[in-house]
Amino acid sequence: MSRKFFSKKNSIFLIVFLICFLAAYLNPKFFTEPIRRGLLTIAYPFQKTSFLLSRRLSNSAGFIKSIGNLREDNEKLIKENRILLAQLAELKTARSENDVLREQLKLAPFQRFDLEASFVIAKDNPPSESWILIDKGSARGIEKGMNVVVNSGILVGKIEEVSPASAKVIFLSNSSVAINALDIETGASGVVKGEYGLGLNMEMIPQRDLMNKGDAITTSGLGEEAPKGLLIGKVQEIKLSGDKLFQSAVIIPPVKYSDLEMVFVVKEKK
Amino acid sequence: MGKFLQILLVVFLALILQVSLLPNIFPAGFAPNLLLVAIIFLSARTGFEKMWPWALTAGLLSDFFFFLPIGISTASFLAVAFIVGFLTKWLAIIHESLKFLVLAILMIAGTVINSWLVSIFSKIFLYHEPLHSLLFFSILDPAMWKIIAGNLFLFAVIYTLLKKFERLIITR
Repeated sequence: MSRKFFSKKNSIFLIVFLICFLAAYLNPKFFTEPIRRGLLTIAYPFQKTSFLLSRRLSNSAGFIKSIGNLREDNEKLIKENRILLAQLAELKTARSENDVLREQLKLAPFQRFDLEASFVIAKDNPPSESWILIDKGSARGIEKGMNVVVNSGILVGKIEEVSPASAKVIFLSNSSVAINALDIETGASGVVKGEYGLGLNMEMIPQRDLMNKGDAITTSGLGEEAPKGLLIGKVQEIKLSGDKLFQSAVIIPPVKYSDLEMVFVVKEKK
Repeated sequence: MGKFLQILLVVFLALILQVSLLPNIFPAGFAPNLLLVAIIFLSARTGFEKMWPWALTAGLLSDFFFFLPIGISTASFLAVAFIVGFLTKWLAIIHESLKFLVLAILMIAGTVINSWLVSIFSKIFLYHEPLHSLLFFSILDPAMWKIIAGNLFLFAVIYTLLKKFERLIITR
């Protein structure tokens, strides 16, 4: 029995599994971080090419898929107004090119902050989808802890790790993120925390503070981890904490983090 | 050494595809885990003895690419390869026509085991969660089923391609 248990196969598995367990427990960052940075630097050109290629493929597939819907819409609109439809189709075609990029550039809060525009080059695996990799790193002045926003100053995450050519952005939904936040409608304050990549929760809201469903939540500027006035999301649900001393609220971000293609790193306040 | 470099290169390229290509091609949440699918599939075909160096390399590189403490994906991939290898030997007398079904079941089992182990190890080593929270893991979670669906889709594609490829070789 024991000879069977300690067969070559079982022994290899047990020994390597235990070494992995020990390595994960010790987590020797001084040893692994330089290797990770090196690997990311080597992978950078491949990741960028691969990501751009897949975006093109995905956009082409989306375009082909939308042809059926467009035809349906066209038929309805033709009935209403043939001339108007033709004009609208022309406008849509002209405006669809670089739509995302233009929208981002137009709405990003350039006036208030020094921003570094960056493209996403890699994403986390589902289900957590709690980080992305962007194509700017320490060579472009990106540093750990910097905030990351999208259009109109919507805060989406923070820089967690930096290599010369790329940087890892953890979303607000990552459980290691905690940001002081404010209900701009009622002034209620609390701390927004991530829920293992699955959502956002605003905690430590004093019971006396009023909050309503649909209220906009922004950064409060306290603690200096994020500048004041960046939009985090909207209140979806309000609950009492277990000890009934505080309230907590489920926050829904205005953008789907997993769909981001371009972000802006807030390098400093102007 | 040559063999090791070969494994390293294949795994490296597969990881590039996994983090930079598949998330854009598949709908959100459905992106398959290319390396996991390959490890389950090959462990079922060749056994743990031949697959463990691949599982080890794939796990190590995954830990680096997915910003996890070293050992989390590695331990999980090794465990999946071991369990799938064991189950395949146990089911060795299956009929050829049932092979696809059995492999699909192994794919589901491997995906669930991997998600469960990575979730537990992440809670212990990354988030330093209390032990009682480790029990919280539901395979009924829709996110879990999306991953299973993505992995099954990729497995079906690989299986069909391999079958056609094998048939082509045999007829020649």
